[in-house]
Amino acid sequence: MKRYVRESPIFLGLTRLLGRVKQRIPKGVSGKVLPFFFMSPFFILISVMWFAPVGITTYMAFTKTQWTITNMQFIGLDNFVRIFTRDIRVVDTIYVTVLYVSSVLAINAFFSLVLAIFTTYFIKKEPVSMAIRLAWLIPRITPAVIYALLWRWFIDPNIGLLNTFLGLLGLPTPRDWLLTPPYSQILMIAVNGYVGASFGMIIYSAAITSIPRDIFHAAIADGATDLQVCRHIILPLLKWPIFFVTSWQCLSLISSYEHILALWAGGAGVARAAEVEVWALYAYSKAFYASEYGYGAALSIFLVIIGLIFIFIFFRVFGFERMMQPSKVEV
Amino acid sequence: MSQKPSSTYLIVGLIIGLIIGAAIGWAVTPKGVPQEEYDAVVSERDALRSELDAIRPEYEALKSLVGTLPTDGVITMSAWSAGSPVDYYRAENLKRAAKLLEALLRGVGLNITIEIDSYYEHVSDWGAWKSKFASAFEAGEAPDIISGIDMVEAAEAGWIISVDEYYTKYKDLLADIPEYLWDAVKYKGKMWGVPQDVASQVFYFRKDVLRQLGWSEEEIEALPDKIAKGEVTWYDLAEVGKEAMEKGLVQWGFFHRPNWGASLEIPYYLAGGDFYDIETGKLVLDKSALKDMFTLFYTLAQVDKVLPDTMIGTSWREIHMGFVNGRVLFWLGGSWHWGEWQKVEYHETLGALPESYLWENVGFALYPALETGGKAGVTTGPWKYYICSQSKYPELAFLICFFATIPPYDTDHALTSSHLPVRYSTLNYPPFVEKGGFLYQVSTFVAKHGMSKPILHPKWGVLKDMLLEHLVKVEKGALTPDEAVESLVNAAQAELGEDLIVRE
Amino acid sequence: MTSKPKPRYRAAIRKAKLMNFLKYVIVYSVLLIPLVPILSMMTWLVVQSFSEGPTSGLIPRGFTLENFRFLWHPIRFGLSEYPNIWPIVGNSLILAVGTVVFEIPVAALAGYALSRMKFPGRVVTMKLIVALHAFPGVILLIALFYILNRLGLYGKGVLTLIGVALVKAGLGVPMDTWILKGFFDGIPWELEWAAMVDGCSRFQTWRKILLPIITPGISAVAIFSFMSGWGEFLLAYTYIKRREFYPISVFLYSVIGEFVFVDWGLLAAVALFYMMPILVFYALTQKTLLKLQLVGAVKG
Repeated sequence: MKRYVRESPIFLGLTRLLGRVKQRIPKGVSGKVLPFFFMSPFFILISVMWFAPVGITTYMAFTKTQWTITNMQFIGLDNFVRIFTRDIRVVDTIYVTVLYVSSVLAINAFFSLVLAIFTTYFIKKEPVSMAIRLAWLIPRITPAVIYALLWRWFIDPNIGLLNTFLGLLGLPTPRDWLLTPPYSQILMIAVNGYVGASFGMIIYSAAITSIPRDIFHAAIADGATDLQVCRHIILPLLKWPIFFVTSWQCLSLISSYEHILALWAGGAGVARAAEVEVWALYAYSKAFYASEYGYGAALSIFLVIIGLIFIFIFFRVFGFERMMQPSKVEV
Repeated sequence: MSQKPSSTYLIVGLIIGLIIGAAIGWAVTPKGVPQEEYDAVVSERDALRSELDAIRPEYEALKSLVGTLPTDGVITMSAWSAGSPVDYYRAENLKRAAKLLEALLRGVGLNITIEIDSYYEHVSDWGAWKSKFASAFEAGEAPDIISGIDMVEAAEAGWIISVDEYYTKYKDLLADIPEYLWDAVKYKGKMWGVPQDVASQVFYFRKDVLRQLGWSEEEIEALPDKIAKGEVTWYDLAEVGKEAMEKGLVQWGFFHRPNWGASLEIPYYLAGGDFYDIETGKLVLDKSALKDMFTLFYTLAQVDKVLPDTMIGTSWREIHMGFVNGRVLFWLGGSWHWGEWQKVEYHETLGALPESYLWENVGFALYPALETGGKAGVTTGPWKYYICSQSKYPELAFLICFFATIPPYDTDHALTSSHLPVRYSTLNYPPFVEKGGFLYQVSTFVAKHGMSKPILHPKWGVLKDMLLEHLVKVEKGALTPDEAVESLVNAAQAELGEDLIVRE
Repeated sequence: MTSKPKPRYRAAIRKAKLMNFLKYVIVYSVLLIPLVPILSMMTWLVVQSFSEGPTSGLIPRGFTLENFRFLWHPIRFGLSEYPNIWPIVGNSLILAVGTVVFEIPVAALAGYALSRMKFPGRVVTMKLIVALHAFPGVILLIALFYILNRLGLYGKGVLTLIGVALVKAGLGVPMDTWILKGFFDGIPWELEWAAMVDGCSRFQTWRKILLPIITPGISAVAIFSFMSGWGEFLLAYTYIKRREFYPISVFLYSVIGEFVFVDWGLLAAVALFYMMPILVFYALTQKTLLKLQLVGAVKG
């Protein structure tokens, strides 16, 4: 494969051209000032919208900030001690979060792979493939409020269709999908899975479609079955996208809560009673329902620490670094 | 003899003068009035005087405002009210009260115009509502009047002011609102809000199902009374529910609310328990009352099986549709449901129910006693307006909140929202007496049997969650009542520590 | 070869066709069956918005355009009246377009710099972008409330809307920068060198030559930013005081209520209307969205 690319005319031409051009770099073009000019809006915006809040929240985690967000009293590590020793809800929340992240990750990183392969490899007709992929994007582009509303309708035992469809298939049809675990948890996983699947699907599809078709034709001519093509050609080539999607989605899922909040709206306790309160949602409810901003900040910081650990792992184990290197500067 | 003629002229002049004077006097004397007319005028004057005396307290009280307020100009105020779609009079009545106050103030010589921006929102996420208010407060732009936030939290956070000085000042006027409602707004010895309406729990039953069971009309009509006297207990009604279920007349005997609320607390109160101790300001758990409460729900759900074990977590829509369509015999609800059933299309064929249907098929009573001869009752509590600490005219705001509940306004709100009126005088107000049949009856038995149980502790939310959790387990049969009591008390002591008193 | 294939061949061909058929059955099932809920929800939305009463399943009760009355009528809830919908739409547009206007230039500039330029901290910045992704929105929300309070953006009408747009833009910029960097990476050097050799400054090259080439990337970023601004609810609800400045998301929230008294038809109609711009945008940029490359994929 690599040999094929390296000997293609385009690549050879490029290297020759770049070699020649290298001697001609006008000095001073890649000056020190220009990058600054290009990057400054980015850094300014990031400072205000990310660094400052992160700094504030980090500080807030060490304070008792209740009711009035601008009134902070330093209390040291007490919030964190509370998380580990005094908070009886932590264990349940961790359980729900682990359940949520692992299940939805399976959908977002792996089922989406199936979707991508099916739509780009198996389905030859482009319009059909695009139509299906567009349909799978619908949950992602629907505003959260409406998405939640539609699901509320769908699961309604009287006027919704979920139980009707399940009945047709002979599956159990509980009256209450919203508040009875494990049905509520299945719902939580499904709702988020639908949204997340399209992310992986897009990335994998892009990767698969950039594989030259000739390779497939050659393999099939050699007598490979579709399954063998998938295993030996597609999957190895998708190694990096798979790593990327898995890591990226893992990070996203640890800290996500938006769709759960939208669907189980109605104040504190609803999500908790349904046992779908993930860690991020717990932090949110402590901050905004109980007005315990300091404690909510501490819970969030805990998430950040976990996230950073994961990032570290991804960089080391998956060699994330390498994904960021291909850049023209080094040439 | 020159003197004699001058004295003659003098005398003649005098006489003529007298005659002219008398003539003039006669001419200008007003004509006499007939006696009846005179009497009528006098009685009218007396009536006016007594009316003036009736508002004399207001008048006198308002006079005191002279000097504290500008004598003319415009005063702008804002108010945020919230509730369900039918509670919009909470905002509207503030507007009307402002106009009324304006007129009264003019009477004492203050020619000010009060412009009030009274905003009403149909809130479903109370957390977001609180954030909205908190942000406004932090920006220094909080409304003068706010409702829908937790009183204890708001007092602790310094968002609202205590109203004791106004209460003392206008005490005579304020006596129109029952004492127990004023007690319900006391926290740490001070008063923090103005009652706006009264929410009361009501125990509903399906009369049509009872008829099908063979009850006579007299028996059905007598039921609320028997419940009130403690002659019919909850367990007796459980038997009735069982019978109805066995005969296939209903799907379930009892439904209750799907999350924690006042209606679930009533059995505990009827068993003599309390959740809050006013003196110490601490939360309380009474073990024997807890046991009675858990035993009741355990019996209903697991022994008699008249209550579904998935009650907690059912959707509201399911619940109302169940009762409204006659599939459930008893509903542990509140007075506002009577109004809700007339506005939302829960009934599968009739849609929103006409009140006549309700009178025909739905009866209401107190929550029954747990044992024969025991106490029956309901809990009641006020919706409160609060005065924000950032308000520039707190006294005016207070008066507006108070005038927002005068009988005509109180009636409009009560009839629309199906909550109870807050004033004594509303109960005598003809339009209310005429149209408020249901509310009138509920007010009557509330007056006799209502319990006011405000729980004003910041950690009540935590205890509520634990109560709910244990109730779910009891109803599902995962814990026996005794086990539940032990578990709950242990968990509560662990979480609340100092803030909890445990009684046997 | 003689004309007819032997029976064995025929059987083999039949079997191959059957396997092929089964293969496609499986493929289409896996792809389409999970879509059933989504498609039925969308169908319901449309059907309900034209139905006179609550639908039973997907079957409407009567046909009416009344649910769309909010387009030409102020809506009344109880005694209060919502203003005309069009200023509300305007507010949403300010929010959404504002977000786009802030995000695209920042991300395009930074994406180019990260792709082409050498400066200290370049790799660190890229790692930072990845790391920022680990920060939950929750954590930022708490602090953003604090910042917005301090910046005095409460209740300032259009200024508040713009402030919220800036916040949304800031939140989306890291991801957008990453995406656009990917697009810049895909442009061959020749073009740039050619332009610069011809006398363009780097900035001019960026602006006049490269940006047009990565239009697909820009449209992807545009739709993400637009969706972000169009869908924003919480910040708008908390910081906007007067009803005239509410965006549609808050209006929708008021219509939803507690799902009890709700007017299903009106709700569906408003929801459909709310989704319209996004669907339009989506239709225009679909090709790009389906071909986003976030990872230097194959040549690796």
